[in-house]
Amino acid sequence: MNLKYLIITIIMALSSFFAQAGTFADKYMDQKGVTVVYISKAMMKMFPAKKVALAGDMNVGSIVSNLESIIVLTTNNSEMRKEMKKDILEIRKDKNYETLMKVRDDDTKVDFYTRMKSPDVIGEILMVVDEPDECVVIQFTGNMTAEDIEALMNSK
Amino acid sequence: MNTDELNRLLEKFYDGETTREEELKLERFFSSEPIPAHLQVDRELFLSMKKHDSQIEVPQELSGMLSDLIDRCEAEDAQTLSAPKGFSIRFKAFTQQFRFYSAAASILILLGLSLTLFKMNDTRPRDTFSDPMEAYLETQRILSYVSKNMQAGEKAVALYDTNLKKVHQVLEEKRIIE
Repeated sequence: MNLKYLIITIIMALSSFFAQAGTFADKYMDQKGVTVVYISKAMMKMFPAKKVALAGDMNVGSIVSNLESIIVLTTNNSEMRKEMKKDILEIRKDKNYETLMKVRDDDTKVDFYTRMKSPDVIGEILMVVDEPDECVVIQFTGNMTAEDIEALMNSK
Repeated sequence: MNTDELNRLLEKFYDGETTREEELKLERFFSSEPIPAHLQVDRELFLSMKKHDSQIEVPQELSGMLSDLIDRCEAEDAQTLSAPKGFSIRFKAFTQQFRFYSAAASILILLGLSLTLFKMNDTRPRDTFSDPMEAYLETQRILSYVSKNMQAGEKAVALYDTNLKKVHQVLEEKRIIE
């Protein structure tokens, strides 16, 4: 009897493991009508040191040092936009995500969401730009801090 | 019975080779005839044997007890032959071991399948850029875009603050005049 419980527990653990494996961006990686830009941590490590240092007010080096990946999804396909909006609604309901900021400017809606890894570490920043003819989602994953967000805000 | 025959039978008796008839013959001899003095010891032995033979009685229930004991022994023997004790213990241990190894194998198979499926499901793409310089420029562009949108929110908050301050100022002035 105990053996059955053990096997059921393992199956459930594996199911939750699979359920958590995908993020918002992962779903749209291979979708038609969605343009994807993916920059990995390995690539960020290869950024030219001199350029990073001379990037002026934008402290790229400081910001990317805590990043694991950058993903940009762009679509003007109406079906994909509908699907994305549906998933964003799910994110709003998700207790793991917090709304960082909402900006409304004419026809453009910009929402920022964060997912905390721990009280001081931000595991994910999601920026959703909803324009009349286009939808852009930018996802940063890594171990970011409030200082990184501040640095982004103060960059020129 | 003459002396020679008597001596021969006695010798045979003490060697344990006499038949029941010969023993009865000796018993009759020692019971009935006048016995020479040197055979007196033998006579006492035979008479005591005869006395004990007649006195020993087999209890009636002994037969039943013996029969029960034999039946029990036979039943135990039959059980041992059909399912030996050692075999049943070994079989039980084998069953337990089999269940344990089956569970372990199932878990390993599940883990193996899971990892394989996870690798297959890993849709993380390859880097869009192969040139770090291009990737860097794109990163800078993305960060600027994000920064611009964040600042737009910040400006809106700042504008709201300014307007709020203006409203407060007007209200204060109005209160002072009144």
